Amino acid sequence: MRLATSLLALALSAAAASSCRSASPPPPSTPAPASASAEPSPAVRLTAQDIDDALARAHAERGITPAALVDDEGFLRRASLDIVGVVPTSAEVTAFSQDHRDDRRARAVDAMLASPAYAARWAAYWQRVLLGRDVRKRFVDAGELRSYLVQRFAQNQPWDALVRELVTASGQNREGDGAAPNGAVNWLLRFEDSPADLTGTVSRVFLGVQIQCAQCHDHKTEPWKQDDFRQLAACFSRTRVKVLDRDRSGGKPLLVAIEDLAPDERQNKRHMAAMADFIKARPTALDGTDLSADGSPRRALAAWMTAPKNPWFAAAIVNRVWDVMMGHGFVEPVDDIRPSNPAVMPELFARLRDDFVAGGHDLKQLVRLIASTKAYQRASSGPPQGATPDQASQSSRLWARYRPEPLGPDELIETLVRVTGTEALLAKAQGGDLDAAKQQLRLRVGRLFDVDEALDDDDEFDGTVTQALMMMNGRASTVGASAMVENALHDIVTREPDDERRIKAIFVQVLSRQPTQAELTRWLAHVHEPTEPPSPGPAAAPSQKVRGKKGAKGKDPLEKAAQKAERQSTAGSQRRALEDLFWTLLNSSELSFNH
Amino acid sequence: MLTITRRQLLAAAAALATSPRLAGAADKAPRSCIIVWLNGGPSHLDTFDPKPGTRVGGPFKAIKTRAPGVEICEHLPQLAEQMHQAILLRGMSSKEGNHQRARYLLHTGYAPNPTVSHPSLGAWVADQLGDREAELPPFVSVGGPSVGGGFLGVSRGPFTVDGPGKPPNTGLARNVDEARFERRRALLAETEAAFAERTHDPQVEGRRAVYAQAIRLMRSAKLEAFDIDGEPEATRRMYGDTQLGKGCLLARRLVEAGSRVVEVVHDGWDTHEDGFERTRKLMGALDAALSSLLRDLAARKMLGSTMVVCMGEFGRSPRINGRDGRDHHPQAWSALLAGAGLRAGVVHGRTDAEGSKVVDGLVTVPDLFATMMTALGVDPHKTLTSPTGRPISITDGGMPVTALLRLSLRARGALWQSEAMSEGAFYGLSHVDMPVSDIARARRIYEETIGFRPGKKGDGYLELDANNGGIRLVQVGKVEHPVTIRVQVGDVDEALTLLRRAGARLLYEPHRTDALELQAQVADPDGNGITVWRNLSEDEYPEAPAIPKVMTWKPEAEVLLQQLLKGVPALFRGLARSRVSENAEHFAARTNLVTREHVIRSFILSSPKITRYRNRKPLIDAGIDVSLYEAEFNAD
Repeated sequence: MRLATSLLALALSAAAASSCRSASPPPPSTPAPASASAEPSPAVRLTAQDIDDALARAHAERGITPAALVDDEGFLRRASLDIVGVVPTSAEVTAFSQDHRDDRRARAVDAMLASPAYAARWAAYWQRVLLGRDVRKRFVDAGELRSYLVQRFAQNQPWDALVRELVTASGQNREGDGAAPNGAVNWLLRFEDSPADLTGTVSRVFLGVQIQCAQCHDHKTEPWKQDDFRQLAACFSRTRVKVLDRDRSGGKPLLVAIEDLAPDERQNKRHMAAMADFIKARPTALDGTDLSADGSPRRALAAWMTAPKNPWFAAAIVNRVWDVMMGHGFVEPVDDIRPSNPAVMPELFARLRDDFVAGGHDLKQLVRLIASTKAYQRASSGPPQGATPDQASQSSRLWARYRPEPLGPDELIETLVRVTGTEALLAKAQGGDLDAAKQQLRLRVGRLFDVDEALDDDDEFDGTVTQALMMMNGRASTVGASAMVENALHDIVTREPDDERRIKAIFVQVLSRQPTQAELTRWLAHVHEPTEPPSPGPAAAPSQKVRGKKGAKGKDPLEKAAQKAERQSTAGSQRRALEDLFWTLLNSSELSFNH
Repeated sequence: MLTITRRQLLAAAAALATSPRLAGAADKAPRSCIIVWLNGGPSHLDTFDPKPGTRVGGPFKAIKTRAPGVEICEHLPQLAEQMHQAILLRGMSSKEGNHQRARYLLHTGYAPNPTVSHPSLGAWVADQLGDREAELPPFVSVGGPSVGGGFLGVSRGPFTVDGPGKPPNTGLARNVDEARFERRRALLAETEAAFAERTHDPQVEGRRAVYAQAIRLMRSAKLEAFDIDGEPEATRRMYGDTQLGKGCLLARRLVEAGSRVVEVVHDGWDTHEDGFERTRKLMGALDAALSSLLRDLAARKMLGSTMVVCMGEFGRSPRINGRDGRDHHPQAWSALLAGAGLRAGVVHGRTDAEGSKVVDGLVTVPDLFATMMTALGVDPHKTLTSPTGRPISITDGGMPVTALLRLSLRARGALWQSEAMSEGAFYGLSHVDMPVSDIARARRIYEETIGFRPGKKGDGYLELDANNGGIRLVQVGKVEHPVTIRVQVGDVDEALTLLRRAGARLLYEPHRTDALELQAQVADPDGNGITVWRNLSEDEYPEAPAIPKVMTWKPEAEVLLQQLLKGVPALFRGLARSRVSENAEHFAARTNLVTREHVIRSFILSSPKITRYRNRKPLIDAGIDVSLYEAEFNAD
């Protein structure tokens, strides 16, 4: 197993090693990531130009012609979705189109990084990674974890410090008994009865090392032994959940705390049983570092994980952020970094990793760096690349073109609410609380996206029949695409003096771009095309009822507005044509993809 | 080339398993599946594996059922009346005692693995048997969520509804009429085509397909299958006015209308506290719903093509905890299977006196999945490639439990043969190395005469492929250790002539072996042996093969069948023997004793109607008055 560290270093530096230095593996106990890729000394920071140069060389070697750069409108939408998790407002689109300074893209990125939406978006992303879609344990308070994460991302807490807090968290899950909560413990609580799952997750999510297979047997393709797993799990063997208060009716614990046993404290029977496999193992890190010296092996583990010389830690987060922004990571799946799953562009990957460590684990800086590369700013449109499927996939693998990705559930909900301009309606329905209203929608809609609740990641979403039905016929679309209620379309129809300007405004509102001349002509024709009057209300298809389990999911916040939209369905034919336009764009792939 | 591969054998087994049991009956319908999912893990001791009067037995008694010798819990009286149509698996066992992991395991057949997202059974079946253009979703989850399409994609995942009734958003919004919707649909199609043209992205295409599917569903007349209000009052009452009862009735309607897999979720079985009272109440709903489902499917002649599965994620502990409940127990539990040509009225597997361990008839989850897939007509060992390039077979190396399948002898033989080669570290035979001193000369025999196809070649070797595997000719100076291969042929004499013409020399003439084969052997110029062989036809057998019986047969019934078979052409005799005996046992299911009468009826009905007239002569020759069986001869 001791081999593992040097193997990883080798995997990361395979290209570098062959070109610039002999690959003598570093001694096992002192993994020295910087030495493996060496070229830029940590003092000289990596620039976007360096990244683009490296990619340009790779493209040239393979005869790939990269796509042109995306236009300003496309860039703003893409960056906005990636950095703040929602499309830009039409005001932002307009302002950006009037900004002619050379550094307007960098300025826009900086503004996004400085906005509260940045923290909300990344907190939502990490909540999903850390808790999965659905947690059935009643004492896991997802809201508290989220608040904690929002706060940390807002202050741009260095990634190593944040992970140390998560791994070593103690305290109670929510407010109660006159004590303040530590939201971070809610992640650990998810693994209350499965220390093995916790160990596997810590290793996979934060180090990109999939050791969980070694829970039951020695790993088949990697050097991990079952003992490695047990020794790592042993770091959590003295951590326990303490019940502070129970639910009166069901006797289920509601208020709990995570705490470590005192060195001389005996474990109770139940705890012993859960930890049986690990209690006797000596807490040891993956590279053999002894973690038992410190009184708290959990703290020792966190320190070892996040140490600058740990070769996995920074690689895992760099790969993940790169994946979120660029469509796919250097290593896929993002949390499976190992020599037998080689990285694309290993040298560039290693340099980014070292630069991230040198910069003090600064997440905002990492996002800023990636967003300022040409690689990030490639267009997604254009002719199919490469004569053969093989070349096309190479081109896509080397980020020579931006690959359209479907929006995840969080981004899609935020985007739908924003483009339809139904914030006010939603908030009103929830007594002024927009977040609660969105949460309602998320609960209702979440299930439409992917039934695999256990999935930790929000990839693999490609739309379901249920979702298509909701987008075509559901309340949110009906209300959003009606000119008769208090929403964005209503504003546009009232505000803009003529149909041409209305069409343009609708495109900007929904797709964050101006229509092309062809689109404008096409839609003007549609708006002025005489259509039959709508059939009278009662003869129309029966209104549908949203079925829910006896209000378990709460009342649909859009119900009242939907009734209003339906009652007043006899708008003029031009207005109906604009509604059709809005509906069409709302249902378009262009809206539901990041492209 | 007649070399038969393992995969072909399995495919043959699957094909036989799904071939209509009574040839000629218009039962060509593809198989469907209804999963009654008891979420939380039902207590096997309090439902299907009672141990009344023991320390662990709990308060319930056991009652007799219509399946001889099979007893279940007293609170499942209606189901007891239907047990002759079902199999109880009392030897289920797994290693997953955590709800989420076990739920994943029992839906996909695989233990959770973070690098692969496995498709659930419903998704596999939707993928393999579903009609891409169907109006109704091939996989529906009632009261879900189930487990989704995994790496097959969300489009193979379940269409989830809360319960009966028109699914949400399948009707038009009130401010949209048909004409307006059609206009919008056309506008959207135009917009989407432009975007697809701009991006050339397959995911965009995928989304358009999903929209098309959604619109087909909206416009389908079959949408009314979701509505159970049209069912007669009596039927609805029979299934029970419970979520599960309604769900099961909905499942039957959906399968009738063309859905392939419907999962009905019944929650609440995680009875750590107050377990007996809660389980009794849950059984009330289950008893009415599941028994009605089996009765209704049988009455509609749908049980033959519909598999019903009832299970949860694990069993519950023999030990009764301090709160009058039982805790998780994956080591031993029960599942119920019925329909789709599976055997019926039997129990498979046994637990110890405390229901704590399986002592006989252990069925692992992969085995269960292989059995279910085989019954559904899906090759359980078919392999697909996951997006990460990893080959994933439909079941995790499980083997069908042959005792549960009504398979012909031949199909069973095929399965047994394949069991010898497990899906482990070794993938199977690829080539036999054959040393030759002259590759060009050897090709005359192996490639030009026998017909192996040239494959990989290089310095000093040439691979010749059969359908699966083959030989690799390896250039050596002098062959010191020749090998011998066996080649199946249609006509041994003809094969010998051809091989000798190509330069082989005869080692021995054709002769009959104990294994009922005719074989001869030649050697190539290097001394490598080639055995050519064929199976003897039944006319060439020293004596007729035994009847593949599972039940007891009256001696005169057995004699009659052998006599009747002599009137069947030799080529079809083996098939006729297994099919007629299977059907005869089916007719005798009530008594477990096969009589002459069963044989006669089965002999007639086992042929398709159009060729049944050929069966008159053997019957008349056996002295039987065929006029008494006109009904059988004319049955559809």
